[in-house]
Amino acid sequence: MGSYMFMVLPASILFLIFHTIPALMGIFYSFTDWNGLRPTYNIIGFTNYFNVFKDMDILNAYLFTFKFAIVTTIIVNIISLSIALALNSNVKFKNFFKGLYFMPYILSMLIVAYIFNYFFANFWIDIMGYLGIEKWMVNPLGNEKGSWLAIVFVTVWQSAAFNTVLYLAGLQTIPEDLYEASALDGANKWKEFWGITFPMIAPFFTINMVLSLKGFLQVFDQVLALTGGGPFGVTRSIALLIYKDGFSGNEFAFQSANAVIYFVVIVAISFIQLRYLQKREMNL
Amino acid sequence: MKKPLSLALALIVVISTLSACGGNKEASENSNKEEASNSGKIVKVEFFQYKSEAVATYETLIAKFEAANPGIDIVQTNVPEAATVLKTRIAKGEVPDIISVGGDAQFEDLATNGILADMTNYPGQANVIENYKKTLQLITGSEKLLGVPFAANANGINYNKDEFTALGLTIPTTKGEMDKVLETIKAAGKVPFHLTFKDAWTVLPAWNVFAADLQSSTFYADRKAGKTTFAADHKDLLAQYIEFMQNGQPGDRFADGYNDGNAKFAKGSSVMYLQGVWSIPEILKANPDIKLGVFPYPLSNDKSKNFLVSGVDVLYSLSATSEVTEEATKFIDFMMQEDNAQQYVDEQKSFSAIKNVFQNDEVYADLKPIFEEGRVADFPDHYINGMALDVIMQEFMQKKNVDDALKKMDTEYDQMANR
Repeated sequence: MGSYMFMVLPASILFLIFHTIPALMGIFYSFTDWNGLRPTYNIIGFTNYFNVFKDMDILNAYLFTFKFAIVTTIIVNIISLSIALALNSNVKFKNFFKGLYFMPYILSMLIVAYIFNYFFANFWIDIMGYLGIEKWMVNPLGNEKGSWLAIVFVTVWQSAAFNTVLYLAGLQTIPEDLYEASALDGANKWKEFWGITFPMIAPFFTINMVLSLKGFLQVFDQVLALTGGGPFGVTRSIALLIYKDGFSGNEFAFQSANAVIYFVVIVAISFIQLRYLQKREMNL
Repeated sequence: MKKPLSLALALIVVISTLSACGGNKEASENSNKEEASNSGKIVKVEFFQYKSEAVATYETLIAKFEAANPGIDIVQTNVPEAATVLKTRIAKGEVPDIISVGGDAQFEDLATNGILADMTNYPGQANVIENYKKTLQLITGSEKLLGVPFAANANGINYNKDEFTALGLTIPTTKGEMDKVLETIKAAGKVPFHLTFKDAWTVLPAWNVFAADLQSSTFYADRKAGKTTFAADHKDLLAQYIEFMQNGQPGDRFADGYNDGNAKFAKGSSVMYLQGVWSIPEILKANPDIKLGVFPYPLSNDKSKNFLVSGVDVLYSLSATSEVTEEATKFIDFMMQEDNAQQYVDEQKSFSAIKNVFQNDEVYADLKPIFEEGRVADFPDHYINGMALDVIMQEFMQKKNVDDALKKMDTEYDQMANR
């Protein structure tokens, strides 16, 4: 017992100081009118919370963030499951490919974003010119319609690696004899996938879906580095809006309220997702 | 699995939304340590300044000051994202003794929130050009001077001197002459302006001159009093502005940002470039051989209305809560001495807010008479700091819808007034 306490206590104290207390302070400030600079502030109750729902910038940020998170989650999961299936089969140089596909995840998102910033500003236009697609010969990051897709692309490129590893781990838990039995019954590859592989990795599918959606709802670094929320604010994510307007827009208390609401929304979504997907696991 | 996971989720969210606060704690501990070591006879004065380009210049000047004042140790603080860092430090109550910022929204925030000491009676104010003191008063909306202007910038049109000579062009001084210059450049198959709309703010240098030259002189007062709207006053202005901006490069004008634009203009992608003088060191870095000049925007056929827009680039202010105000003031006195101010503008290629200190670089030869004549106006967007004007204008550049842009300006102005 004593040695457990010895390990738990320092961590809990650090956690309390650096996470719990700032979080509680943030919640406290969301009930004030503090602008982040003034030495004094008043407690104004739920006014900030009501105003969050009236703010068009925040509404647009929610729309962008959800659109981005849902699309990215779907694409990331399709791609990473496909890669995992391929890597789990008997291909040559398997470990080399595993390493190769994991590379992007080792790089920092900011570095990836700056590389792609250069790519879109210089090579993209040339590639589209070469392919003869004149309509797309623009820098997608500066384009109202293309910028969010460019961010989706870069995010998928970087984060599919992590989900691939989780799916690979899942695929290795499936006993070989199940496949042998299905082969004897004459199942084709497609049937084998839906009948054996997918149900057997259902828990991994659940965790991948929940982690991806939660992660992409908090999208921040790639937006900051790729577009800074532009052009004219169409790619402003909620986290970016909270950071920018909260710290440099003198809306500290107001954006704290936004952050609290956002926190509740993400917890609720993750909870619902878990409930639903786990129920589905049972049925399979 | 459910419980630990949702707990983990909750924690991750808390970490990511509030990690900035955790960072502050460390910073404050560091500066506490510094304060503890202050007890000796050497007085430490923290000098927070936002210009990363000026660090080396300040270092030499600080060394000179400390040699003359052995009891004072000036600690220069320059960090990336200076505005955000300064704000978080102030939120923690760690206000630097001397704060050097530009005459912009950040200064307004500091001044109107009681962070800065009143410097109206500071003797050095007597040496500052009146216009820049007025600028500070307009930004803060107060008669008090909460800082002392030190250096100024200028916002004209940068041009490539060699290209101008090759095309046989001279500097246009009226709208008619400017139209001819634009025609000549286009007829020669060259690009008049390289535009960098990927960064929203790069639409503003030109907008500021259009507003300074073309809006009615009492516009902001009238707008505040509800006597006029952007829609009523700015319609013609925006129409001329968007027409002017059509002289950009062919293809996608939203492809490049500010840094790309500086490098491309330096390598000859366009004959002129719509950026203030702050871009000149960057352009010269990309191509040290380019011969640059700057002239004021010729937007009207009445030469006296073609203003050079110039704002306060560097000002010094004192913390209202500093305990070393006397020593801090001594350093500001030192910086405002003519020889030191001259060294600053020479090295930083900026203009001085101090009387009798001039910028003599040949790049600015065309601007010198304008400064002498006093045909200088302030940045109009200082009056509407809370509006996301850059975003509205960036959208305007893509959609080119004057009425939509005007409507957005009026809506945002009213929202800003309600805050």
